[in-house]
Amino acid sequence: MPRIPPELCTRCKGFRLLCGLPSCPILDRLRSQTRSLQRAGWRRDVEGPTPPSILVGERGYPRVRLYYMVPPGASPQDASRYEDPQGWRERGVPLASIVRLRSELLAGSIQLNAARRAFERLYELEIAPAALSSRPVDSMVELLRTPVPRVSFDGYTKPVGPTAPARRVVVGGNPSLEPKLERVLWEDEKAEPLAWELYRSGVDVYRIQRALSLGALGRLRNRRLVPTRWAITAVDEMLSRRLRDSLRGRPWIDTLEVYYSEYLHNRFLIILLPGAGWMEWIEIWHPHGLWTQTAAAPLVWRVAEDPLGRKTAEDGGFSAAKLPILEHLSARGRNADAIIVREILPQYYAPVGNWHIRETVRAAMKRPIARGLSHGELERLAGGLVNEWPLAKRHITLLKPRPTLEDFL
Amino acid sequence: MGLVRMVDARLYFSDARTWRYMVGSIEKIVEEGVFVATGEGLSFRALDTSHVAMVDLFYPSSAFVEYEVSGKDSVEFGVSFELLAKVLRRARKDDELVIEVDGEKLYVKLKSRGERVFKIPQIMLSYEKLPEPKISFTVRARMLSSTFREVVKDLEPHSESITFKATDEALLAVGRSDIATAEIEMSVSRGSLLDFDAESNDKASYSIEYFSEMLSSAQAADSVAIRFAEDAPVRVDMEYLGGGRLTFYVSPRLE
Repeated sequence: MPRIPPELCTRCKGFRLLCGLPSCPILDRLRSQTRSLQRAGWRRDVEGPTPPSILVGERGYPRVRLYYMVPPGASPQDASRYEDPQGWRERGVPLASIVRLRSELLAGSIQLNAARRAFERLYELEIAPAALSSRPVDSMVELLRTPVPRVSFDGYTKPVGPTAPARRVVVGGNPSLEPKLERVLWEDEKAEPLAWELYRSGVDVYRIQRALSLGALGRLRNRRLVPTRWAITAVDEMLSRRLRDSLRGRPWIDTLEVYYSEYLHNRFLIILLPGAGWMEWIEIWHPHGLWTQTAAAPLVWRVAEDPLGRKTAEDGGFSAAKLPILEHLSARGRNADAIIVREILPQYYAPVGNWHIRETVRAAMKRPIARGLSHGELERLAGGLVNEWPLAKRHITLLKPRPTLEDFL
Repeated sequence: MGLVRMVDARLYFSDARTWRYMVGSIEKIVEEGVFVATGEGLSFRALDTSHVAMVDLFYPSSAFVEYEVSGKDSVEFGVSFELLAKVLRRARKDDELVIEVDGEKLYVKLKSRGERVFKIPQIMLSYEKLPEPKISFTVRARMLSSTFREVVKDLEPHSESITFKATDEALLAVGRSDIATAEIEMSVSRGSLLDFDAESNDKASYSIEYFSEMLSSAQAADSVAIRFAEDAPVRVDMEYLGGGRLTFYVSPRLE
């Protein structure tokens, strides 16, 4: 394998191709290893209930592929566990099971032009309503050839199983749409207010992401397909912006609070401090992990965001973590500065999408594990939870004393 | 007889672009705030959300072509700077600016050959007068606004912080990040400073971002005055034609 600086890999996560190679050697190897997970003997016609599960690819934009995924032969009751971020996190489904589940989904791909009335077409084909349904929808995918047995990964979206171009997708069952969602599908309004409206009426983030991705939100004449990876972060950012607005002028929390959770060999330590809403994201990648096979020492990556939501770098992982923290603060009506430390252990061998960041942080924010600690106590607590705490701490600026102008008024 | 409409305040300024550039900077630091127009002039003071910086504006009534504040001692009007900046961004060379406060409405007019009228809502904000920060400055320096802009632009690309250091004769501006440092020396003898006075060889560091945000307002200023003291806030005054002044206070970073 070519020697690529691991710093590059942790930023690239296999899709920006910062190393200059035509495809990511790390993902290629992972893909070839997961081949063995496949079950042999697929036919060209695949029947099954879509959980629903779709993906809009980004290669070749605006000529993109839409993947319509179906677990062949699964029962409708069973189908939803193939696409269930919240459930996976709640039940603590391990990494290997998620990879296996996703490898059992068969994807039929349709080529579409993102800008050419794609949503209308998908709506007529009933693919859009099926993809937004809150229950699995019986479907039949006629493939042009037998699928290549493989699983594809990237850092943001869930793994995609064996894939082949589809001759057609027939939606057999009745999609069931939440009434609120059904109402906004044809509303001539920008995507952000619509996403916010859906979110506030309780539609879950993953369904909003899917709606944006299908081109179901936005001014009617400007609608287009949005590659899933882009849509995920776009929705996180849109909702975070609104939540930040709702917190404007609210009082600060009273004291330091610590939250913690761990899932899929990823640890999240969140420290809230009285403050106006600064955020700091510290990512620590252990060596010998997926992206850090050649690293000699842990790698650190930092993103900071000011109270107006301006950040030092774009990072989908940070955006995914930010949303549940702002949800938590908005529910309390309080402002706080937040430090999020993500420690990635080497056992995180396959990237399964950034949903786990959102869900694990959300779980962590349910209750604090400690409040009102002194600096010494925080030191001991954090040191016990995160192996590389001293390294993380060197990069955290929010714990250092920060004079404000009020000290001088 | 023509119809004369009574407004609460009418401020007529000869160069709309000065306001465009000032508001361009203010917008980056505070989202909204209350202007106060009295017989002496127009003023504004607000802290940024994280309370690290303060914006303090004063423009004397004598700097306006026409300046009318009706009846009462003062007229207050709240604005969203995002909105005001959007309007003022349309200001071109030769445009004059008229701001009219009429009840709950705010008219911003750009006049050159024609007149463009923008009506924006006032926002209702509770207004409490902030005190001026009390700092005993030990170092004072004045420079042309172009010098200030060059210094910030030189440091910006590779710095997270800007450190001011005073020697007996010169002011040093040092930019620093994990990888690189940059140092700029300014003095009266070399012609880069207009005035310089240091009571002691103090130094202090600040986040570079706030200085980047000041660049827009410096574009229309004549000169820039910087004052600081050891590990104390910095005061940066943008000095405009006619005695207008836009001041930024930024609290120090402890290194």
